[in-house]
Amino acid sequence: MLTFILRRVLAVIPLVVIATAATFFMLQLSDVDPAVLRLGDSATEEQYGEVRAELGTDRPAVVQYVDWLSHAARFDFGESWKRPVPVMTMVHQRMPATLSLTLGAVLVTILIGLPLGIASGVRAGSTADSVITATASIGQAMPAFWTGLLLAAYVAIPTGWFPATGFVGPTASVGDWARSIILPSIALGISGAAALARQTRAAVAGVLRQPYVRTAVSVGYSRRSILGSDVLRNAAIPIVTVLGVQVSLLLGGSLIVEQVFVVPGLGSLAFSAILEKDLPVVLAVVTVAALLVTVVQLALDVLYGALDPRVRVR
Amino acid sequence: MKAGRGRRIVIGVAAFEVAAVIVAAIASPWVGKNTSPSTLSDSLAEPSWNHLLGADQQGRDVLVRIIQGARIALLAATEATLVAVLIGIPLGLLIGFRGGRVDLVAMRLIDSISSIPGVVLAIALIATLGTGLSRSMLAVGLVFSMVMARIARGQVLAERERQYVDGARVVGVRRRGLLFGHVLPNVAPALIVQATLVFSAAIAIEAGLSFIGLGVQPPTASWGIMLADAQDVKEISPFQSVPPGAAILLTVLAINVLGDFLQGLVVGNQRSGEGTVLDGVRVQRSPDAAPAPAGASLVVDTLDVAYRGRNGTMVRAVDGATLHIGRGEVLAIVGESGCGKSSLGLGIAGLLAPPATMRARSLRLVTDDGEHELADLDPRDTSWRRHVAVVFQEPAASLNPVHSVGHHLRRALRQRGVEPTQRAEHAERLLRQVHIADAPDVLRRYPHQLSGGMAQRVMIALALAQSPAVLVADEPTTALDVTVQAEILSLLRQLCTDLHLSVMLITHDLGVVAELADRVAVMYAGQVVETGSVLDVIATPLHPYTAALAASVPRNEAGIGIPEPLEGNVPEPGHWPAGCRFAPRCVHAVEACLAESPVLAGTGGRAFACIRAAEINLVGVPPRRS
Repeated sequence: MLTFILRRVLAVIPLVVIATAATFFMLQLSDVDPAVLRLGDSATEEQYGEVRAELGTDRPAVVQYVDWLSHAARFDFGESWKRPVPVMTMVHQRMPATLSLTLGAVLVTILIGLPLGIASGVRAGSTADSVITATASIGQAMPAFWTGLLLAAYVAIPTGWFPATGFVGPTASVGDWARSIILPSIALGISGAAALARQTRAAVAGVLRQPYVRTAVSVGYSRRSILGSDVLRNAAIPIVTVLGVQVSLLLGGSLIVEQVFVVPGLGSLAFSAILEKDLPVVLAVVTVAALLVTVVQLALDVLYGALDPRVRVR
Repeated sequence: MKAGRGRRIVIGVAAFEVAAVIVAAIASPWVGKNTSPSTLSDSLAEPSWNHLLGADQQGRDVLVRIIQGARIALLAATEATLVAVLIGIPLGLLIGFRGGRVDLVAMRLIDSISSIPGVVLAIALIATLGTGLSRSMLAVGLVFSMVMARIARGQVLAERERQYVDGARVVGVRRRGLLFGHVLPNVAPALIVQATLVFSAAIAIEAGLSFIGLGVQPPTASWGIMLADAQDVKEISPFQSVPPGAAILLTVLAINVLGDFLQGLVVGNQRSGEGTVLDGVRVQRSPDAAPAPAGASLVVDTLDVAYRGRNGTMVRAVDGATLHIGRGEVLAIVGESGCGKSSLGLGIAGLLAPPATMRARSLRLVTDDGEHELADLDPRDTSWRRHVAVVFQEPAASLNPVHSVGHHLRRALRQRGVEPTQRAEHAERLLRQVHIADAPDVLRRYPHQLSGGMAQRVMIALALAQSPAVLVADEPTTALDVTVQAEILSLLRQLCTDLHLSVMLITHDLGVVAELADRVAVMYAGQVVETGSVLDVIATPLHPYTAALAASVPRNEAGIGIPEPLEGNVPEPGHWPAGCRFAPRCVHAVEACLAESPVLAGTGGRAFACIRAAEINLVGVPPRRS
């Protein structure tokens, strides 16, 4: 098991490097000059040169990337082109909000999606299954930012139970933190829960048709024992894969939903960076997002190995 | 596939919705021209005759803007989908067809890029390409092209494994011809379904990107822009956020419903009312059961099994089967595939799944602790189950892949009430009983680490762990190598003798019957057509079907010649002919055979269902000199 984990960890490092390289060289195509960003278009060529030398953009792209990578490995994403602030400082300020939202949404997704998916998968073809599947189809078609807008307009503002805008850090007040992320998490989590429910249903219904479930019935195990030890235990394997995809979708979705609730996360950082052409910030957001997804994926891979002996034992 | 009525209505509504959006998109340049120009006096007007969905902050009619937004939504989704399809599919087909190193490198790259969340990747692409509708949708299309490429490649790899591709290679079809002529038509349906999903996702993403200001720019009407406007006034006019979002929801939902429908056409849908083996099937009991023959451990009296056929009506697969198995006796059920043998076995073991139905006068199990009338029990009552053990044809698939052999056996022993401290030792003993030499090692193995023969031995050990009265063995050796078959057969024979097991052996192989069984019941088209001791039935068959089966068995004896294969096929359930069901294939059939249904009758444990038995002289297989 330990070698399995180690092998997986070693396998993801090139993944992240390639992802950042692809993004880096793609951003190079945009031909933005940081010197003009900093100084406007009325500075002298000498002044421009100084800024370029300071930011290192006068070097060949490959050299720039290798330099960026060696710093990024130590969580140093260089300096913003727009203003003389380390990019890491900006990212660091925005991380708690995005992480809180994503985590909340993942919780909503699992707590709602999993039980509903299991319930409808076990009774596949029944009325309850049809109702759950239809509800999930609607949930999946609801854009999270619209759900958020409805929750803000029809729940937060009339009742005042939850703030309609803003984010409170968990270190400031845990209660206020929870209140500030509940609605965005639900808005984001509904589509995730709907997707997870549908996929869990398919996984459970698929396992129920397997010959080994028939074997378990023939031995005379209780329904509960078969559901746990045979059905869910095997359905968990594809569900873990789906969960990895969902986490990635939720992280991306949180960037848009945070705009609805005016939550200062990585989304607003990235959007203003795009409008300001502050490319190191865009690259840093991409890197952090890819890293988060990869770490989650890694954890799920290990879980996958623990769940499925066919992967673990070679 | 026949969709249910409710389903057809849903699909119809979805198709109508999509059509309405398309019409709105086409008509949008002419919509709203005749209405009064927007005035600030209409600002945030409530829905009324004048403004059916109200007016926005600048007094513009919301319905008109929704219709204009439909055009943007469809244009945007079309662009993104075209980009995804035109880049992703050729890329995926190429990767899949090249394979080898190209596949390795390209998939590595696609995997890496896919580790970036789609929205984030789209943001990075927009940072490069610039904002605005066509650029942002180009970015979204590029993101989805990765998904399309991955799926197209997977489809090609799956199709490449198929026989027809090898066949085309052998006859010299060139690679490009193969791609376009043979593989593409087969992978196209899956890719079309995927494209509809990309289309609906692109509608939602266009709205999202326009909402945050990276897509369409105001004053163009887009559902996302309208929601951004609504956000500014959510405190004074919450309704502003409802119509544009509902437009997105309904459109995306309708496209997804149609996509699901397409997918259902491709892969088939589960029909409603279909249960699983967990639900079980309650036996409908007809009360006039005959008394049990002395010494029987299983009595089956007039058992019917029916399944739901393709057109929805119930179709009988087993028709009035009556038989019994004596204690310590091996009863073989023989017949070609499709004769209802397995349905009979599953019915007896209580392993049918709804909507299958079962009817019987009696289905009785006699064990040390008395008689159990299984036909009277609730299908969820599991108390009798351990008395009837089952060994299936596919041993590897019949074992739970995530549990070790030891786990399987210990769980069954716990079910039987064996003390925890004794289970490990008991499990080891069971493996030795099925002639597994290295029991401690095998206990630690998982099903995928077992050979077919080994897996079948484990299945038999699992059956023995239940200490059953009756063992149903459904084609236990069919999936195994010939040498392994002989080993498993001799093991089964030894266990029958040693443990006094009553065995119902389901097989199509008369060789296996001769090897193992005491008595035999021959089934044809759902009915038992002949029963008796193995020696009698095989040596002197009284039903032409039995004789035909015997003649088709290859024998290694001088002067016998090659076996005669049986002409024709077993009629499918639901298409059974009137009169004797075997008559259309029977060389001895006369006019009367087609008119009259023969009844299974006889004396002294020998019975047959043929009206001509006395007139014809049937040839069997002489008993083996062993």
